[in-house]
Amino acid sequence: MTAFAFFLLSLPFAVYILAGIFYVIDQDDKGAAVLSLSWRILLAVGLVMLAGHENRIGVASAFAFVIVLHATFYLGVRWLIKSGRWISESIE
Amino acid sequence: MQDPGSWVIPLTNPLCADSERVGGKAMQLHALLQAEFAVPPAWVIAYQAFRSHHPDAIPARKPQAATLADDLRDSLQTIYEELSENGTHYLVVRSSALSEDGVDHSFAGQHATYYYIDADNLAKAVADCWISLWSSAAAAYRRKLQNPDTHFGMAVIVQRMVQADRSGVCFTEDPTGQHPEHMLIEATWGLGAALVDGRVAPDRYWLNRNCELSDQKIGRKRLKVAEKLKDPSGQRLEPVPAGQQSSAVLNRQEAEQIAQLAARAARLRGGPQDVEWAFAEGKLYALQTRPITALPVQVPALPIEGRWVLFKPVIENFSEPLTPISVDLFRRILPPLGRFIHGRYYLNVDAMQHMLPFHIEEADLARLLLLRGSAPQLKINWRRLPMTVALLTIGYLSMGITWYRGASVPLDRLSDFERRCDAILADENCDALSALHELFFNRHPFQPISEFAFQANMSAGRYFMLIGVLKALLKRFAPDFDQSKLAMLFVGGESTLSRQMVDAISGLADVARPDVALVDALLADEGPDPGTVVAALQPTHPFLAAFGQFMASYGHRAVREFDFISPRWREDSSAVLQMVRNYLKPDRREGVDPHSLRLATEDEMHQSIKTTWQIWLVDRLLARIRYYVTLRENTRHYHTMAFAVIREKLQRCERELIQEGRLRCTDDIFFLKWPEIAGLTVGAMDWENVESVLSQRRRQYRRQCEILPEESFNLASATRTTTLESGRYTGDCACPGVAEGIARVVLDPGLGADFEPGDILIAPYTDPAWTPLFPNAGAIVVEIGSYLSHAGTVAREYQIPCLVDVEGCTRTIRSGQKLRVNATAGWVEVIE
Repeated sequence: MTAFAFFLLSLPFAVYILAGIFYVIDQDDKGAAVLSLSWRILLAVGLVMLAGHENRIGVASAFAFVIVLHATFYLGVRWLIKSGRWISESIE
Repeated sequence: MQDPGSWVIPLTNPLCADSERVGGKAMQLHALLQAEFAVPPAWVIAYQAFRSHHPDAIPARKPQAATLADDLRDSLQTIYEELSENGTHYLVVRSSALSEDGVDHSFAGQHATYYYIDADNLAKAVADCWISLWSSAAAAYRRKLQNPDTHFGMAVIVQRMVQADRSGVCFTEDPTGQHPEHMLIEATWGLGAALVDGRVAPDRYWLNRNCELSDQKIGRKRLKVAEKLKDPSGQRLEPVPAGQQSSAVLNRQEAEQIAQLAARAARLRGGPQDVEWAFAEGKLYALQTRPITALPVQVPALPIEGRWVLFKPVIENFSEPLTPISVDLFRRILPPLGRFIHGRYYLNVDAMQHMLPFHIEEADLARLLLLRGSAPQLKINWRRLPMTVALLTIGYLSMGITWYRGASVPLDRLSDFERRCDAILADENCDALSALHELFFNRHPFQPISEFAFQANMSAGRYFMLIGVLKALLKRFAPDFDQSKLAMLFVGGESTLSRQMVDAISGLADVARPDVALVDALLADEGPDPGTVVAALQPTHPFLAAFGQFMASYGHRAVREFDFISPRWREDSSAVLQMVRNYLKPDRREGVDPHSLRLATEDEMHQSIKTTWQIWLVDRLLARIRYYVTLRENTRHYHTMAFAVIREKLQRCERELIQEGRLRCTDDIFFLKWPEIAGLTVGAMDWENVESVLSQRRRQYRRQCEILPEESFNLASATRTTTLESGRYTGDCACPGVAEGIARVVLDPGLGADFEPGDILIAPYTDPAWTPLFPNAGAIVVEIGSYLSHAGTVAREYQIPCLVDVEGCTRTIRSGQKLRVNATAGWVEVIE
C-alpha cells in the first residue's frame, strides 16, 4: 500500500525529472541543462531515499509508467495520423 | 445548308427564336442579335441533330461520344470556313441545352464550352459538347432541381471566338446583396472563361440604376485565359503581368458602357439578366445573356448537427475559406475536436463544454470561445470536476514532458526547423502528405523541440491563461493600477521576427532612398509597376542585394499563408514592393519606442504594488508572458515555412500531371482532394474524372468567399450589437488610444497602394503580411480579431489604437470617410 502511495506521489516528479533529460537535448547551454538535470536527479534520489528499500519499486514504477505513457501517446498519435484514423470531418 | 429544316441554322435565322429547336442560350443570343447588339457571328446545330445522333438519350444512361454523320461534318466544315474567315479566327463551341438559361434555372456552367476550336477538332468538340449533358455536374444540378427529364436534349452553338483582351459578366441585380438596387460588373483580363470557372478573383464594379459607377473593388487577377494561344498544345492559362494583376480592368466610361448594354438586355428580355461581355480591340460584345435565376452567394442550408463555433485563432488570420486541398490535408492532422464547414474550421462546443468543469451559459461559452469581451463569472460544476481532473492528470502524465520542454524552447534554435524544411523539400520521394506528416508530427522525442515549430507554437498558447492570472494578481496586489495599460507591459519584443520583418522592409526603403530616380519610379502613380521598376535595375544596385537578402529570410511568407494556394512572396514580390513603396512616402508616422514605454508602465505598476515578493511574482509572470508571446510569433514564422514546402511539393506534382495531360491548368491541384491527386499520380484517374469536379469546386469556393462565415451553428448568438443609434460601431480594444483620420478599407495588403500615413486601416483580419502597413496607420479597425490576435499584438508594439471584432466594418465603412476611433472606449464613428 505504501509502495502504491509512493507510486502516486512520484508520478508528477517523474514527469518533471524526465523532462530534464530532454533539456540537455533541447538547450544550447548544455552546462545549464546538465546542472538542471543534476538537481532533478538529486530530487529522484531524495524520493528513493524517502521511500526506503521496500518501497523503491513504487518510485521506479512511476518513472516506467510515465515513460510508457509518453511513448504510447507519441507513437499512438503518429500511428493514428499516418493510418488516416486521426481525421476531422469536412462539410462542403 | 440554308434550308430551315436542316440541322444547321445561322443565328440570324428566325428559327432561332424557337428554344425547343435551338435551346435556351441560342434563343437568347438570337434575340440580342435581332435587337442589334454586337454578338459575334454564330451558327446553331439544332436539337434535332442531337436526337438523331443519340436517339435513345435518357439522363440515366451516358452514351459514348457520337461519330458525326457525314452530312453534319460537311456542314461543319462550311461553317468553319465562314466563321473563321478561312482560318484567321478560332471558334468557340457552346452548349445550348433545351433547359438551359431558362427563367427558372440557368444550368450556368454545368455543360461544356470549348475555346480555341479549329477545323481539326470542331467535330469532336460538338460531339463532346453533347456528352456534357451527362456530366456529373449537370446530373447533380438536375437532381437538385428535381428537374423532370422532359427537356432533356441539347443544341450546340458554334461561334467565332472573340479575341477578348478584357471580359466578364454583368448582373443587372447585385446577386451578392452587398449593394442592393445596384448592377454588378465582374471583370478580368483575357477571356471570361477564367472568371466563369472561378479561377480568378475579378474586379467588381457597382453601378446604380442610372448606370453610374458608385463603388468598385479591385481583385488580384493572377491568371488569365490568353486572348491568343501561343502554344496550342500548352495550357490556356497564363500569368497576368505583375503590373496588371492589381490594376483596374475597366475605367468608369467602360464600366458604364457595359452597364448600359446589360440594362438594354434586361429591358429586352423583360427581367434581370446576367450578361457575358467582352472587349476586343476596343469593341464591346455581348457573348450571351441569361435570366438571373438564383443568388450565387446562396449556400445551401446544411443540416448541421451539434453546436459548433468558429476557431478564432485561425479565422482572425484570414476569414476566407480554405481551398479543398488545404482542408483535406489539414483535416488529416488537426485533432477531431473540430470540423471544417464550408472551408472554415469550427470547434465542437458540446465536447468543450463536457470538458470544462464550470456552469456556463451558452452565450457566455460562445463569447469565451470567440475570445470576445471579458471572461464571464464561472461557477464550478462539481459533478464534472472529477472527469476534468482525470483528463488533466492523464494529459499531464502523457504530455507533461512536452509541456515542460515547450516552456523553454531556445528562440535562437528555432532556425533548426529551416534545415528540416530544406531536407524535406530536397527529398524527391516525399510527397505533400508525407511532408505534412514529417514537418508537423512525425518526429521522435529525442529530436530537439526547436525542430518542431508547430508543437512549440501550440505550447506558446499558454500565455492566454497567464494573462488571466496576471490580471487577477494585479487586481489584488495593485488595485490602483489602470489595467487598460496592461497591454503596454507586453510590448518591446525586439526578438519578435514579425517586428524584425517590418524593420527589414523599412530597411529596404532606406536602401532605396538615396537613389532618387528609383524612389520617384516606385512612388509614381502612372508608369511601370514596382516589380518592373526593380527588374530594370542594374544587377549591382544595392537595392537588389538587400531585396535578395530579405527574400532569403522572409520569402516563404505570404498573404493568407495558411492556404497552400497562396503564392509566397518569393513567387510574387509585388506585395512586398508595395509595402516598400508605402515606407517611401513622405510624412510617414514616426514610431514610438515601445521599450521605453514598457519601462514607464512597469515603473507605474511597481509603485502600485506594496511588497517586494509581490513585485517579484508579477515580474516573473510578465517575463514568461513576454517569452511566450515572442515564441508564438516566431514559431509562426517557421511553421509557415512548412506550408511553403508543402505548396512547393503540390506545385511539382501539378507540373508533372500537366505534362502528362492529367491536369490542364495551373492551380487546379488546389481544388482537388488528396485521394484524387494520388489517383491522378498513379494513373488510376484522368482529366475526364476531375474536370467537372474542379469546375464545381472552383465556383463553390468563389461563392463561399463571398459570404462572411457563420460564427456558430446551433448556438445562442454571441454577436454584439454593432451599430448603435449614435452611428458608432463597437468592438474590443486591443490597444488603447484615440485617433482621427481618413478610412482606408484594405482587403488585401498587396493592394494597399492608396494607403497614406495617418490613414485609419480598416481590414477584414490581419496576419503578418499586413504588418508593414501598421507603422503608417493612425489607427487599426479589424473585422475579425481578438486582444491576442496578430493585429492586437503588433498594434501594441507600435502603440497604434486598435479595435478588433468590429462586425461588418469592411462593408459598411467606405474608403475616404473621416473616422474617429476611440479604441479605449471600444468604438469607431464616422464623423464626415
